[in-house]
Amino acid sequence: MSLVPVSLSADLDAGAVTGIRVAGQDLVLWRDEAGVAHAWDDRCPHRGMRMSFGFVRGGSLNCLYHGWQYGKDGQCSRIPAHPDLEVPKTIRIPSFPVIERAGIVWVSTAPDASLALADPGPVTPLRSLRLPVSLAVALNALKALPTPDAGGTVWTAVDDATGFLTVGPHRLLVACHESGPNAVALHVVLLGEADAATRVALSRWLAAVRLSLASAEEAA
Amino acid sequence: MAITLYDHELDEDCYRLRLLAGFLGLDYTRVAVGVQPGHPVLLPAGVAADLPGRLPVLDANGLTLVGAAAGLAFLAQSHDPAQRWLPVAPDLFGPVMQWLAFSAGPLAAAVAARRSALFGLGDPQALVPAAVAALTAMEDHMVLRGHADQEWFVGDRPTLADVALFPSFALSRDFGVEHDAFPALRKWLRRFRQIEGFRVMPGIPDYA
Repeated sequence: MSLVPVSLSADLDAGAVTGIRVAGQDLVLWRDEAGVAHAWDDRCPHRGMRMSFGFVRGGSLNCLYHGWQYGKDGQCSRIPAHPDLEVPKTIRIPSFPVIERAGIVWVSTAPDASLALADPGPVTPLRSLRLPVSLAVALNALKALPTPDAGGTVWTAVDDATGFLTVGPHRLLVACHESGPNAVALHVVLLGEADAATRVALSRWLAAVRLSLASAEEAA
Repeated sequence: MAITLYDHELDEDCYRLRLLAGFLGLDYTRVAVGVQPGHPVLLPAGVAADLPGRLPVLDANGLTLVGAAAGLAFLAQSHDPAQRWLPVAPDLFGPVMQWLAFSAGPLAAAVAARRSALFGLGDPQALVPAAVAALTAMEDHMVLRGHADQEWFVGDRPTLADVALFPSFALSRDFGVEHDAFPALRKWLRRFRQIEGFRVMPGIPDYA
C-alpha cells in the first residue's frame, strides 16, 4: 500500500491543525511548533471530540473540549481538571506514518506503507486543487488542458496517482488522492525554482482544469 | 455618536459587524433581538428600519441601516479616521467593494446554507454546491495572493473585504464543509484571528 498525499508542506504552517480523510478514516493532520507533521485518529479518547478542532501548544495537540493535552507520540500528557494526576499510558491517540517529500505531506493508515516517488530535489509549491470527479477523469482533463505555448503536456507516471507533467519549459509533480467517489485532490509542485509571475501563471493554468471539466460535463 | 446594534448571537451577519466593532475598538450598545428561525425579525417597539424583517440593524443617532455590508461601510466611514478598513485610494477601494458585494452576492449561498443546516429550514444540501463554489473562488484568489507574498484579500493589511468574507469560511463546518479543501483560506483564517480586537462567536473555537 502506498502513502497518499494530503497537503502541500507549505500549506501546513507550524501550529496548523486540519481534518483529513484517508482510506475512509477521519484523521487530524497537524504540525508542531518544532515543525514536525503528525497524523492521528481524529478523536479524543475522553469524549470523542474531534481533535481537528483542537489547538497546538509547543509540541502538543490539545483537545478543544476539556483541554486534554497529547504529546508527539499521541500519548496524553496532561488533564487540566486533574493537574496532579499521572496520566495512565493507556490514554493515547493512535498515530500514523507521515513522510514529507517533494514539498508534499504523505500519510498512510497502514503501518508498512511505502512511497514509490524518489526525492526530486528542490521544489516550489504551487497549489492543491479539489475536483468533483474520479482520479482518471481529473488526470485526463489535466493532460489535455491547452498549454500557453500550445505544445501540449507530457505525462510521466510514477504510479497510478503520481506523475511528472511537462508544461512548456516547466516540470510539475502532480500527486493525487482519490478520497471518495468523484472526489480527488491534486497536490502540485514545480521542480526547481520559479518567480512569482510564473507561479501565478501556472496556478491559474491548473485552476482552468475546473472549467474544462464543467464544459465536458455540459457537452455530455 | 451613539451606536446601537440590534443583534443575534448566532447570526453571522451580525458577527460581521461585531468583528469590525472589535477591530475599531468601538464603544456601542448591543441589543439582543429575539429571533424565530424562518420568520421575519421583530425589532423592539419604536425602532423602525427601511428594510424591515432582517438583521443586523445598526442605529447611529437615529439613522438605521439594515444588512452587514451597509453597516460595515458606515462604521468604517464614521469610526476609522485613518481609513484603513475602507481605503479611499481607487485601486484599493475598488477591490474592497468587489469583495464586499461578493459577500452579499455569491457568498450569500453560504449564509443561507448555514442557516438552513442550523435551524432546519429547507434542504441545506441544495445550497451547499453554490456555497462551495463561492469559497473556491475565495481560495483561488488567496492562492494567487500567496504567490505574490500578500496575506490579505486586498492591499497589504486587513480591510472590510477580509471582515465581510471571514465568517462564512470560519463557520463552514456548520453546514458540513470542512476546511481541508481550502488550504490558502485556512492560513488566512489563522492570520485573521491574530488581528487585535478579534472576537469569536459560537461555532468558532476560542483557541487556535
